[in-house]
Amino acid sequence: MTGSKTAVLLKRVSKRYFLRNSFDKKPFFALQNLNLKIKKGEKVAILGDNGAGKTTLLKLIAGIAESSSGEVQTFGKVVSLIDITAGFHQEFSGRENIYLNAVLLGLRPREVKSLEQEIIDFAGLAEFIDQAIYTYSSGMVLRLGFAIAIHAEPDILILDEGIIVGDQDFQKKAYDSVEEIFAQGKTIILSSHMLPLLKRLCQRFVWLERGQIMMDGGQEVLLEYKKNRASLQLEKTPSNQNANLLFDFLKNLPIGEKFIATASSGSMEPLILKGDEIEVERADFADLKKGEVIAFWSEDLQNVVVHRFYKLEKGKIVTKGDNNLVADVGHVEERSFLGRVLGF
Amino acid sequence: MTESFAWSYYLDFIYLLTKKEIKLRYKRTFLGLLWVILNPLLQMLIIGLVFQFFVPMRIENYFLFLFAGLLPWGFFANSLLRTTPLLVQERALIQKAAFPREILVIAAVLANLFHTLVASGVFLVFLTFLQGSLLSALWFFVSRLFLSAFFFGLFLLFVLATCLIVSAIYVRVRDLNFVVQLGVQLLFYGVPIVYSLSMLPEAFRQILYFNPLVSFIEVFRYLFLGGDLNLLASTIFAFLSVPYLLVALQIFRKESKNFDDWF
Repeated sequence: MTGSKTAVLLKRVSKRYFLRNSFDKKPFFALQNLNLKIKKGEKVAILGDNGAGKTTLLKLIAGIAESSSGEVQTFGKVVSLIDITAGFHQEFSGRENIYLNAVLLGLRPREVKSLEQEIIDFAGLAEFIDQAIYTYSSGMVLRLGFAIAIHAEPDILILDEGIIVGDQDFQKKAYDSVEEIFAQGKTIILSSHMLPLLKRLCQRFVWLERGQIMMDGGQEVLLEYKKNRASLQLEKTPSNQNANLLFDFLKNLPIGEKFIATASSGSMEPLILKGDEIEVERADFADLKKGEVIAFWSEDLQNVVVHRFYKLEKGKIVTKGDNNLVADVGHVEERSFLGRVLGF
Repeated sequence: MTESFAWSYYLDFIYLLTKKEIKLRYKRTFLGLLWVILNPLLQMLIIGLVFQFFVPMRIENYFLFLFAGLLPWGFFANSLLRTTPLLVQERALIQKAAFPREILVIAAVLANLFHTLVASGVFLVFLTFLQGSLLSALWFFVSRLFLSAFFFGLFLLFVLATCLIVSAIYVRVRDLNFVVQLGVQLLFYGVPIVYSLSMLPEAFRQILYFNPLVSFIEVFRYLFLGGDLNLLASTIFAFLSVPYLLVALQIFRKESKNFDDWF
């Protein structure tokens, strides 16, 4: 017996996929001989680069995929929010989709009935709820998905990246409810590239690399992991700390290249706190959309500033920080624009 | 999770998905549910015109004869054509949510059953009006209602089992979609829909009976239009659907473990 304190138990678990082409198939181990025990109420963050096996691990725990060998046991109702809009059907109204998706997440239809209004209010879709969701904006769809998921009452909650969604106001609301869930003593397993978020929310960190556990423990794992990743980024950071050189260097990185910056103020609270590390991807100025979080160079501060895209005015982007008390309004031109902040 | 909770959850889920499937088919159509009866009716007219005027079949009441055969055939063919590529079409859902995969197939088949039952109901009412006296009409309606409900139940199990096996194997062997599409067209002439078994030589007739579909079609035609049939043998035969479904479920469950590998 494993006792009633265990929420998730993995014994020597492997997951093998086959890489196929027309001539042969090669086995590929997404997870190899993994042992993991998660206690009830633990908040566990899964760290690792793309392809390290994070999603496979979450899928096995969620019961979406089956292990090739070994044993996966879960105790309690598992709800996975790997893609909160997967169960949506475009032709149906928001209300009909609430029922479909909620039942998919393990709720009973009569439970959904009593939660229906709460979900609609949370998503802020009052007058649109009976329209087909192909008429919704992508933000509205995500809000609805999140609102349903948050009401599914799981014992074990599995969150994949991109969970904090929607526009500025909704992101705050979403963040608050995630925090609330964390306070409820539920078992939560999540993977995200938003390291600051993980740092604030989790006590335990499991670092995966090539399908195996590199490190498992408290905050020290996060530190090690960051160090390891920092070494990867080093060659992209200029040795000369002169501000203008830094700007030139960043500005000249090709589109799609990423760099890491540390927040030096609280203008984007509560999503980004002072001292948090954020990942910025170089992007095309013309591709930006309203509501995105962007990084730009401020001549006044001689530093990188991270704000949210508020509106477009005469070819310039007017930006605002989420925290209205601290942030000034910014004006960004193509010349001073650096990139898009990942994870928002 | 207690056993009873799991079961009622399973049923709720099937109910909701079936409803979705039915609604989806008639979203944004002008005639809506009218298509349920219009569809087999038009099919009957088209096929009937060919085999009445171009290649005349010597069968009494040929249009009724056709319709009675088209009802069970439509249920089988439409279910199979719909469910064969279903799991791959629903890949996004299967890869992102944990639920018993067979529910998708069950809901699609049940939605087709709904259509067949509505069309059969209309057909039954129509035939009832053709009866001579009030008493015989009443007897005809009640007895046929119960008997056809009974056989539709067993036929459902047969169709479901076939769809479960084919849809699960399709995930691995994509050629199956072509095979099914051609097979359904071919099979249409391999079962007695446009012709009657009595037109065939004895030996050939025996061979056709190895196809379970033939037996079901004959039963439904017998229930609606009469004729001669060994009802006992057909009943015993129909009950073979039960073990068939159990085997199909086993195959489906075994295959579903590897769906993730083949998507």
